[in-house]
Amino acid sequence: MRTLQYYAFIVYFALLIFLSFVFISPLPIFLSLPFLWLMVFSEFRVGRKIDADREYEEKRYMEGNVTNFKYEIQGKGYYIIRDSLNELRGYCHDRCVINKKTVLSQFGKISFKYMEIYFEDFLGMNADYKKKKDSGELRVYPRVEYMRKLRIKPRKTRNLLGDYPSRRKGRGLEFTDIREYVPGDEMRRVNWKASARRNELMVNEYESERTGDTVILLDVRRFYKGEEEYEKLLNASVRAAATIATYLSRTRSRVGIVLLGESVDWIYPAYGKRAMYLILDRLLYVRSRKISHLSFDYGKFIVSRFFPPNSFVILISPLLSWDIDDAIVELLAKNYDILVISPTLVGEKKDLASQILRMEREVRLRRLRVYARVVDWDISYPLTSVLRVIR
Amino acid sequence: MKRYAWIPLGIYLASLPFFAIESLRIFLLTLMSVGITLGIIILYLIIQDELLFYIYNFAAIVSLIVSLENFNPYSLFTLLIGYSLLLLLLLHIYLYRFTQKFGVIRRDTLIYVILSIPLSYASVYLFLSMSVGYGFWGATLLLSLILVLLYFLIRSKSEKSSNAP
Repeated sequence: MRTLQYYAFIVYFALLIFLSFVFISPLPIFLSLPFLWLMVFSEFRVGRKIDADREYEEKRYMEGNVTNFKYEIQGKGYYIIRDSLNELRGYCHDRCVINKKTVLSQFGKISFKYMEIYFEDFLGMNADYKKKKDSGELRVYPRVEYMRKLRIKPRKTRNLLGDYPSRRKGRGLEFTDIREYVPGDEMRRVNWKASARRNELMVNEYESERTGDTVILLDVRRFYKGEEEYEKLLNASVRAAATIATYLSRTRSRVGIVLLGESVDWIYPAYGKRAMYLILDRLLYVRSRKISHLSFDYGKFIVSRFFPPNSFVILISPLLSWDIDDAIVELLAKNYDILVISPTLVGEKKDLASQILRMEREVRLRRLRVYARVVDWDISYPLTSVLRVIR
Repeated sequence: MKRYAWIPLGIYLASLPFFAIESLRIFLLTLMSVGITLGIIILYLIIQDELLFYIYNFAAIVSLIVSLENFNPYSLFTLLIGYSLLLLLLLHIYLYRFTQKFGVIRRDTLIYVILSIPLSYASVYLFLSMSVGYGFWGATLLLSLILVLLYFLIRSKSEKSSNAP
């Protein structure tokens, strides 16, 4: 395959011969000779077979991790190797190995489907191009903030033992009360100091720690065309969901997720690491390319239809749609406990549309604060620092 | 590196009016052609289309021909000036194109670019002193040589031959 430079030099050559007639001078012909010589040189060094292979460690990566890719390139000349993640440029003399470190800056699943290999000879006259079928994938999970202890907890718990202090008394670690001894009480629960004071046997009572169902309702619908703002809000929302899911999977509670993006999707509550990876895997595909026309009622319907009542619903939403507050009221009426985490870009833009959007959101927040716990989260701060102050 | 690629072109365009200083008409024509070249360069920097890159380089070659119009074309001194300036332009073409596209430029690429100038000079010297191109048969021989050369250069290459193991 000839390059554009080759054809340009041919045209130069032809036009210079033509100019020699126009100027009635042999000088343009003389000046055309270097181009002819360059074309002749390029004929002597034609490249051979071109190919490229890539190796990398296939494991789970977190946003911000650095991966090492090893490219083995075969061919002679200047090259451009392009795959789904990297682009390499340089010169290779027959065979070369390139180690490239790549920072995985954005979460998501990277599928390596094709690799484009482009080679040019040393004078840029001949080129070889090959689109090679590629395989492999890279999963980059959203960055998770470490939370040692989260103060938010469901108001209602299930019967199974877990990590949340419940209103029921029973076996647990949190001391709540002292009562009179009744036959059948364990001797180790006798409070001897209180017994000596009251002159009768008294026993300690503890809060029973139970498990709870938590549903993360992630609203990542796209309402406006601004790519940058959407990306920022989406990244913050997804990181928040991943952080909460990871934390909840450590506390023996069941956790599920409902996603509102281009379409609605959900994962039924499950325990432990399995739940965590199910949710994290699903979060890799939430990025929307189109403006969403999905109503929040779908989310409400999925929660009330598939998740048990008394579940703790953590709604992560920038609160940009008008139908959200009524849906929350309906969920509260159906006995769900709701915490709203609303990521926002405070004061990001000063234009009229942004100001109106911001004011509408403020009104919505004020309404929601009447009947639910609401966290107005400026995404320039870490989520953990905001959640630390809630009760 | 890409930034340095503009230096040869800058020297080239700046030195063109000095060779046209003897005649006002040619001086103005040179200034005009240099101006056109600069205009296309600005257009190229805005649009970043590779075709414009070759167009402004051709405009620069035309500027060279215009500025050397008063010189004797058969003089080896004229050729020396012409080829020296053309070398600057070729260096710009190669430095800019390769550093922009591939990030590097190899020494052997530059060597071959520089080598094309003395070879052209020698070819013209042969043509001038050995009278290869004069007369009917000389011109026919030269033309047929060029045509044969062009045939071999333009002939298309099949995918199989270029990628053969």
